[in-house]
Amino acid sequence: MTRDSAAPLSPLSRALRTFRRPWPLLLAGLLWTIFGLILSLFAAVSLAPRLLCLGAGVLLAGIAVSQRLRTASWQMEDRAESSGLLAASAFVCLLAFLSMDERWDSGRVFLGTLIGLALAGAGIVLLPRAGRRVVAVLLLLFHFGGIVTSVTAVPPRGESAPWISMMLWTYVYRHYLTFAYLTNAYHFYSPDPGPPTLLWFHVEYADGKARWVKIPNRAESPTGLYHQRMLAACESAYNPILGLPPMDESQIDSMEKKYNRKLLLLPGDRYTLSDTSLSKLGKAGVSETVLKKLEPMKNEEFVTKELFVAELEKRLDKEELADYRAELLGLSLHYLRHETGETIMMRRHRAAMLAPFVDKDGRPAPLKLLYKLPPLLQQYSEPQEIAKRLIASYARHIAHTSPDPDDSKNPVKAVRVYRVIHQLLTPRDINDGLNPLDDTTFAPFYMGKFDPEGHLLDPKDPFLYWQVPKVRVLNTYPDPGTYSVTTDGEFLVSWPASEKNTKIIDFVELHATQSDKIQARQREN
Amino acid sequence: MSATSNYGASEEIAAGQDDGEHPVVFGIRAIDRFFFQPLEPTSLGLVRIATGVVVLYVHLMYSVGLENYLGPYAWVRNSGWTQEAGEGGVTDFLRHGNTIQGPSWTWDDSAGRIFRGQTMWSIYYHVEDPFWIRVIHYGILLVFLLFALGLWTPITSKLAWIGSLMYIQRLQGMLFGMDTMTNIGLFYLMFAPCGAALSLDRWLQLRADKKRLGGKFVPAPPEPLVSARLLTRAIQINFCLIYAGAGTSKLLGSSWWNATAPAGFLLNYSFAPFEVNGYTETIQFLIAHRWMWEILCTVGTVGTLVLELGFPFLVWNRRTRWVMVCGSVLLHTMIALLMGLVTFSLMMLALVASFVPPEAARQWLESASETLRQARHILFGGNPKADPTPTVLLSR
Repeated sequence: MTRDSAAPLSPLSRALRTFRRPWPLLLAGLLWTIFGLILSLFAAVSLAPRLLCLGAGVLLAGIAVSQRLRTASWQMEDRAESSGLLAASAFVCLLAFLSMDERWDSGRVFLGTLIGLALAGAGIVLLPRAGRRVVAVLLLLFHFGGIVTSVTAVPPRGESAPWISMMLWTYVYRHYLTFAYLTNAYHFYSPDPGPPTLLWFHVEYADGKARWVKIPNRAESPTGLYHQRMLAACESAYNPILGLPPMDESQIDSMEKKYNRKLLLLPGDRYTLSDTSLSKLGKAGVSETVLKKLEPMKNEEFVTKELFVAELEKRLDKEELADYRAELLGLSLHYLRHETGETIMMRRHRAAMLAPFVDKDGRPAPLKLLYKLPPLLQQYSEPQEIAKRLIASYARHIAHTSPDPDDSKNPVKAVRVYRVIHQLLTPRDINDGLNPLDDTTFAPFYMGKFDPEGHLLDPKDPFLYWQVPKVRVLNTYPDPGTYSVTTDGEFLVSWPASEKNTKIIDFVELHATQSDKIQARQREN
Repeated sequence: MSATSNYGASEEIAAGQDDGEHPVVFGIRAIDRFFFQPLEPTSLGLVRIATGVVVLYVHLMYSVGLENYLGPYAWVRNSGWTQEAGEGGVTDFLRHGNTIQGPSWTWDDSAGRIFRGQTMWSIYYHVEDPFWIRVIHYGILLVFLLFALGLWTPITSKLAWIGSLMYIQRLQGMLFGMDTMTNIGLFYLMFAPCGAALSLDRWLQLRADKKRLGGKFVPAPPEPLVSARLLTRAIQINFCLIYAGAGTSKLLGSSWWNATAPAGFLLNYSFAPFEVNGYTETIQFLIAHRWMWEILCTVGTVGTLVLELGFPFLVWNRRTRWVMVCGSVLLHTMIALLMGLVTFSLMMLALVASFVPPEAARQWLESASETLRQARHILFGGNPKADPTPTVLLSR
């Protein structure tokens, strides 16, 4: 053989060559993993060295398998050895799996998959050539079956997805496709290319100043890819439940029963000492003295446990708090059940009359619903739960990364979020000279006011999830005759740009800057 | 018929038809040929280089403001979700709290089983310390670089997929089509012998062989491999499914029937290059001449539909393959230029390179390296017939 004629190797080269062979490599991997396993038995050892040992062990085992499969022949004897090596590498992964803390659950998911793959591989290499080919074709069929399931499991507009696709997705492919992120349905720009979604954040600082942060912003994007990521981030926040929630309590009850989960207004909890919870606390043995001290907190709502505990610490002694902490937290916690569509609609109509917004020209600007177009139900756009969480997460990010440009020590107090649909102009609009950035092409929806940690502060805001438009009205709005009155109520009328004596009211700006003052005044009254 | 020259599927299947075989035997032989006839891995090398470069670029871009993507106050909040409180991290919620209801086995739709959580994994779910995030990030970038160069490819290809998926699983909510395509490319390349051609692995191997054999050394094209054929087919089939999914779903849309869909891209202020000098004027000119605008939109609509619906069928025929491949290149070039989706388009072009026959890829690369050698001779002098350049070695 050619290699026999090569020059003799140095001892170092010989040693290195030894460790290029699969079994010594696997042994080294096994030793590293065992070392990691031993370290995991000692609580004092930090996570980093343990993970480095486990990572090195699994990597070496992987290299050993790769070397073996590339260099071994397909004779039965060699196949048996390859199978043994694969099984041994599964054992290395098993040791690494056992060394993982429960909180590193996704590491366990990964290693569990490796164990399964190695064991399956150990069986497959033992098969004769025809058997291996049959298995390869079957695996491909399974894989592409999954891809086709992803493609077809998306329900067409207003319809349900094919039953078989849903079944396959749920019971056969769910884990495989999400593990490998093969979930895309490839429905690019289907069924129709839609308008882009934007997010506008009104950042409010402790000293009362405020500024707007808007994404995506191509001019301020450091890279083109960042702009695309921002577009994607906004698009993910556009995931609305169609229309209003169930109109009455019985419908909500049956919906909760059907889906076996509570229909909540928002992800998260609230802490309130209501009459009921105070009485339960009394029955649970909380002393009268403590209850008296808590009386001033009655019906006050705390958006996080930390805020609630901080208030308790102010009012109670350390010992009292320690004695009753569990009862106080347990009996004051409640979830905000979703309100009925009827309540939401009534509150919205009432706010149109009672919220005295004032336009920049000093005229009153009551924020009524828009007349007919767009349809009423499309003016309410409550996001689905995952989109609500994303919006809260974005608000939290903005709060922590948008310091006051004039005073970096001025902390962010709250962030209001508006999800905006940037309506596409038609060729006819362009031909008529309309600007694609015209104010009226933006359709903003109020997504809530968040504290810097992303907690929704105003779940009962009458405008929450409603469209807060930028709309062209007559200059004399709201004089009689400048809006539409129907049997369903009063509605804003949007006028075309060609109409004389009109102005644009930017309700987003009015809502963002005047809501707090209006609410404060209303509380005082 | 040589092992590597017969690349298409329909011709191969036709080859056995006259032998009077039993249809079952013929079918099995056709499947065997389609998936397992050894193939030179040069095209896979091309796909690897293109994918590697795109993936490296995409992840390098995360370095600009890395904490915004992965830090404790990232766009997509990670940890903090609890079953009890129900608030906090988005990815935590997706992994443990998000519920889906499966379809019912009966006609009672409410009887479907409810599942909680998804099988997702990423090291970035567990690491939020900025120092370790940087360490891991730069480690993964190194892996992508080695993968693109084709060094230790059997290992780096797997690590590249794992590394890329760690970002994808962490950044749920900020992903778009490009991430899907990079994942698909890396997924198949992980199993493929993509380092057997056009790679440093190959170059090192040839250099070692040359050193060992001295004057007897004759560089040969990469050896045809069964795994190269199987994984090339997998990429090709997936690519066809992408087009089929995109094409058929468009048939549900009214704008694809009345040929107004292109307006949805061309007049979309967030995607179209309105900031580029002349774009707005060109659009206004076209709209002012309605017949021009309508022809443009109709050609765009029909072209897209014909390509997306025709590609999965016509690309397997030798005579129509090049039309389909060139159409795909044109479509993705337009998407890059008019919608700003440059990385997505580059990744689609990387995948479509799997349809380029390896002989054609090798000939093209050899002719390119020959041109380079001659240019070097003209510019710097020396013997044009001297040792082949690394490009030649890499391409063979």
